[in-house]
Amino acid sequence: MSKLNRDFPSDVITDILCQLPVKTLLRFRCVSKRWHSQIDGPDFVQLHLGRSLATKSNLSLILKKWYLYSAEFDSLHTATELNPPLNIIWGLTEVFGSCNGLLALCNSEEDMALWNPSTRKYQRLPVMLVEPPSGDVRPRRFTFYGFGRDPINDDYKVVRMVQFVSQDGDDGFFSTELKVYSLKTNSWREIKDFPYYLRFMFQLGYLLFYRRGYGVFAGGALHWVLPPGFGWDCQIVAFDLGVEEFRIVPLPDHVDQGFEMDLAVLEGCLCLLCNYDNDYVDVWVMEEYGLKESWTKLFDVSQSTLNRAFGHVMPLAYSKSREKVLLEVDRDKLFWYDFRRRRAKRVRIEGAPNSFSADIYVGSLVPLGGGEVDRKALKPQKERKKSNTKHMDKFLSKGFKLTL
Amino acid sequence: MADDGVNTKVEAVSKATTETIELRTEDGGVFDVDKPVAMEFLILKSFYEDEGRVFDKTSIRLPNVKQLELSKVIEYCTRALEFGAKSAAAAGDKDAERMVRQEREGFEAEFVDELSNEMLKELILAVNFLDIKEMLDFLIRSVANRIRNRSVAYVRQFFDIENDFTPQEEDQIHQENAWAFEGVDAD
Repeated sequence: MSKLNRDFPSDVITDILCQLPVKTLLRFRCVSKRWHSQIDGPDFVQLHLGRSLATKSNLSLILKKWYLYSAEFDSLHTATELNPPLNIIWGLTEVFGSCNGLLALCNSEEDMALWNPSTRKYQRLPVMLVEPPSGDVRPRRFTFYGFGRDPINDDYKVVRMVQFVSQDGDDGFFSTELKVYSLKTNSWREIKDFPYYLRFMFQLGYLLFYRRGYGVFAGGALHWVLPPGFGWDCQIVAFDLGVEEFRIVPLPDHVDQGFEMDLAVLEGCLCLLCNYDNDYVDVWVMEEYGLKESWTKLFDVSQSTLNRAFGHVMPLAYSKSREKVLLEVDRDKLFWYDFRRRRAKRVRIEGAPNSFSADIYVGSLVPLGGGEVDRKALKPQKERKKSNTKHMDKFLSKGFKLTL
Repeated sequence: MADDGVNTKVEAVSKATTETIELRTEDGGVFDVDKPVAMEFLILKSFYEDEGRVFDKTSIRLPNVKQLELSKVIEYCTRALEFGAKSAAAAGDKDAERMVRQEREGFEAEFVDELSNEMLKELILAVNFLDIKEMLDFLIRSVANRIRNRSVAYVRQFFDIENDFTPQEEDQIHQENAWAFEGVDAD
C-alpha cells in the first residue's frame, strides 16, 4: 500500500466531514488538532447544519407522550427513547420548540432548559419567577411559550408570556407578563411594551387544545393565533425575535371564512391551517415570509382523504422528493400525504407511544454551555408508568394550566 | 515519459461518428475518449473553450493521472451520461424516473464496492484535478459512508494523518464525548 504523496485537498475533507452525523464528528475531534479545531469551529457548525437542512439528512421526528422518543426521518421505522436532562417529572416535561438541533424543554414555567440531543449537551435556563398581578383576586392564567433563532444577533431565544384574566372575565381586569431569554447572554429580560390585542389571545375554548400555546417559529419570529372575537376574524400574531416586537402577519386574500385556525411550519415556511368544521382542512404556505401575495394553497385534506373522521391536522415535513408531506393527525396518527395521487398512507412507527405530539428535529453541532446528560443518573422510572397512565388519559391538555 | 509498452486504447460509448480525444496518462496509458465524456472533465473543457480552437484530434497529456484511475473515471462518466440521457427521456413518468434512479444507485454501489481505500483516495485526487464535479460529489459521499462508523485510528490511517495530541490531551477530548465511541466498527 503506497503512501499518499500528495496532500488531500482541505475543501474535500470539509465536504466529507459535512456529510457525517454528529456522533461521528464528536468522535473525530480526536483525530488531530486540525480536525478538532475545524469540527468545533462556528463556520463548520453552520456549514454542517446548512447541508443537513438542504439535503434533509440527520433528520428525526421527536415524539412525546409521557416520555420523549425519536425516530429517524429517513425510515420512520423505530422509535427509541431519549433521556432529556431535566429531572423527569414523569410525563410533564414538554418540548415547546425545536430549532437547528436544539430542543426547548420545560417542566414548569420556572424550570426550563435547552437541549441538544445529538451532542447531549444542555443548558438550564436561570430560574425566572412569574410575578402575578397584585391584589386579592386570584386570576386565571395561561402561559404561552416559544423558542427560535434570532438571525440578527445570531442568538437563540425563549419567550414566555403569562396572561392573567380575572375570574369574572368581564370586569376587564387583565395583565400580561412577557419575558425573553437569550442564550448568548444566558439571561432574561422583561418586555413591558406590547400591543393591546395580545389580551385577546387568551381564549379558553381555543386554548384547550394541546400545544396551541407554543409559538411556531418561522421567518425569525414566533407565531401564535389570535382567535376570532367581537369584530374580527382570526389573525396571526408574530413576535420578531430580532427586534423583539409584535406585529400581525396578513392572511391570504381569498380564504373562505368560518374556519378554526392553526399554525405550522414546513421547511422554515409559515403554514396556515384552516379547519372547516372538521370536515376538511385547507393548508396554505407562505412561500416568502411576510409577503401576503406569496400565500399559496398547498393542499387540502378531507375525511375521505384520510378514510376517517378527524379533528386536527398538522403538517410536519416534506418527503425528500417533495412529492409527499408528513401529517400528524389528532395527536395520535401519522400519514404520508401524496400530492399527486391526493391520497394519504398511514405510517406506523415501532415502539412509538399510541398518542403523541410530534416535532421535526435536525441533528446539529450547535453548542450549548453548561451541563451534560449522565445517562445512568437520569433514566426515567418506568415502574410508575402503568398506574398513572389511566389517570392521565383523562387529563385534557398539557399546555393548559387553569389556576382557579 | 517513457512508453512502458502498455498502450491501452479504450473506446468509450460506441457511436460510429463520435469524435474522440486522445488522453495520455503519466504512466504511459493512451485513451481515446469520446468527446462528450471528455468534456465532463472541466479542466479539458475550459482548455478547449479558452483556446477557441477548432476541435481536432490533439493528444493531451494528463500529468497527475494514472491509467488505472483514468479508466475508472471514463467508466463512471460514460455511465453517468447514459443515466442522464435515460433520466431526461423518462421525465414526467414517475415510475420510469424511479427505475432509472434505482439502476443508477445499483451501478454506483457496485462501482464503489470494488474500490479499495487507496483507490478511492487516488480517484478523488484525480477527479479533483480533472475537475469533474458530479463524480467528485459521488466519491465524497462514498468516503463519508465508508468512514462514518469507523474508529479514530482507522480514519487517521485512511487520510494519512498524524496524531499531534499528547496522550493526556487525546484522553481529555475523548472523555468530553465518551459515548460517541460506543458501537464503532472494529478495525
